[in-house]
Amino acid sequence: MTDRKNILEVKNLSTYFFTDNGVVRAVENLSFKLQEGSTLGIVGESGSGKSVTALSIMGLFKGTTGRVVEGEIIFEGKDLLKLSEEERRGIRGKDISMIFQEPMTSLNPVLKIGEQISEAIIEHQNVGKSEAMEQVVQILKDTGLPRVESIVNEYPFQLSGGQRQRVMIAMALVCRPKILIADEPTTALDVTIQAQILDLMRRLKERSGTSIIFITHSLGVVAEMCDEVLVMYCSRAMETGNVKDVFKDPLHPYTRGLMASIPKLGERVEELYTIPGNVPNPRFMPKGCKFAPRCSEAMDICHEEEPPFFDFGGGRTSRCWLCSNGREVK
Amino acid sequence: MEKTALMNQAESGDIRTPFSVFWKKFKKQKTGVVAAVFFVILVFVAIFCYQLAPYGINEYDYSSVMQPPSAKHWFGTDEFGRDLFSRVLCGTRISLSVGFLSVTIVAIVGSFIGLFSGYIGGWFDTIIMSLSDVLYAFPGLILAIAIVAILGPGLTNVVIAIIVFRIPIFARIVRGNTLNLKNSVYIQAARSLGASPARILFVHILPGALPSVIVQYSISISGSIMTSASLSFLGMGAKAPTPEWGLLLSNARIYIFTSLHYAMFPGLAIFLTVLCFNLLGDALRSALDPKLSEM
Repeated sequence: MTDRKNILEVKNLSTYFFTDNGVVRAVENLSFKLQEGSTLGIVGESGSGKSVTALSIMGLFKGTTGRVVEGEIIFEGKDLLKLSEEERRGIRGKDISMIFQEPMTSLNPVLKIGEQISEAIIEHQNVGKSEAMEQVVQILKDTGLPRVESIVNEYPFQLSGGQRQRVMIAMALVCRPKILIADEPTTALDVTIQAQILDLMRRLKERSGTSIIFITHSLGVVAEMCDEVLVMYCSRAMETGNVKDVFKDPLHPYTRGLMASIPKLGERVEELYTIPGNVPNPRFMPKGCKFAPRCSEAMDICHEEEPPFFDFGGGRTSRCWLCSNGREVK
Repeated sequence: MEKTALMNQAESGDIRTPFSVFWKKFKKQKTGVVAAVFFVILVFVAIFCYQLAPYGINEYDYSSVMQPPSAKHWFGTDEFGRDLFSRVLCGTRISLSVGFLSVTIVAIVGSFIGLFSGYIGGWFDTIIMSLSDVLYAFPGLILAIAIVAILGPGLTNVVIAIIVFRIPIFARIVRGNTLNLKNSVYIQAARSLGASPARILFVHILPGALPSVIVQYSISISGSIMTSASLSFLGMGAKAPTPEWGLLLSNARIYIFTSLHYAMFPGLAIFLTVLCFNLLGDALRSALDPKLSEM
């Protein structure tokens, strides 16, 4: 596992939104590595900074008040944050691409499917229209869509949600990117279609060797899809590690809480476990550990001082004072 | 073989392009269809008016001045014995030319201003929109009179005046659409594929703003025909002997109590043309408005 090359390395990333009502710290001091050919799951509840992490990697803050204030995003030895907008545009869609959450609104309603998928080809490859269309038809066939030849001439409203998500996947993969960021690609779909889409992504990944960052709030999806996992809470990473290890032995009380709130088959319970309390208001963040007010195992130090990361080797880290037997990372 | 519901759906699915959806909705509006037919006739008349006119527009006949409508002169004659039917017919070309020319230029210029203003935003947007607010604050006709007063009378200057006072209308509409569209998910998705700003502006945003532009285009044509007729009526537009409708009305004004036909037919021509474009605009709005459209 560890001998594989890191294709993407995020170091101490902080992304803030400068709104009229003050600064919103959407991502705070986040670090992770994505290994070549592997899938990293980023889990967390709404507002924990998962999507903003994706947007930071893509550099898609135009029209918002968001800005990466600190950190490095190293892709193939280059820090993406030091590149010009024009250079980043050359990477978007070609080396790193993204699938969005809502297939219903992510396609331009007035452009034909074929035109939208060929957008990336036209932008990044020096090929003619007919050759671009051939590639479009090929990638659409790979996604398992029926009657591909007529779909390229259809408009998004003629397709169902699941079909649109397949089109989105085709759009993102048409230039064979090295990294695919999937931002909750199955959240808006019903369960059977979800399974099909996950299956499709897994197949395409195996074929092309693309590394995937899979953003989701479903631990079930993580268990099914990912090699590594990163648990986020309040803009921070709480726990990282290999999926098997994390599921077998979650180190952080927050991860344990998440696990406990998944309903289990064959187990009759009166009431599902929920983590008590709410996500703290970003404007009144607790002083110490951000999870301490909701944590059943909180100690005095948790309310006083924010824990650093404790490393247990093999990518296993946890931001919790209970894990202070591990090696402390700065 | 019997047609199943599914087959029907598949068949109708094949022809459901945005245009066919538009056409289906447009067809339902009877007044719109009537206006569209009248519009086609207007354009035909404008193109072939000199071939259609039974008399020359400046064919003087002092033996039959101020004749009421008859089989020989359908709309009667004017104070110089010219055939009013021929003159009103040929006025169509002038009015439609002024209308289309001015509004086409306005639509293009105004749309671009709105597009850039909305997309770039910030100080650029503030300055452009403040300027357009200043222009917008003037009553249209007064501003047009002021511009013609500065530039001098004549149809070319009327066109310029119309362009100037209508630019803010298009700029605002397109800016609003641009602001709305530029933060939509599909624009972000296009950006995530590496689309260039030019491509985002012209391939993704502009077509989204087009329906509102088309509706405003049609409504603006009637407005600009009115303005040009008004300016000619006031002696600031077309000069005699041009058979401009406004000018014809102006000439007919002193004869209104003795020869009603002279004022009535040019007036009717203006009335019907303006009505046609307004109804057409309404029908287009109902057919194109994304808020009214089914998903």
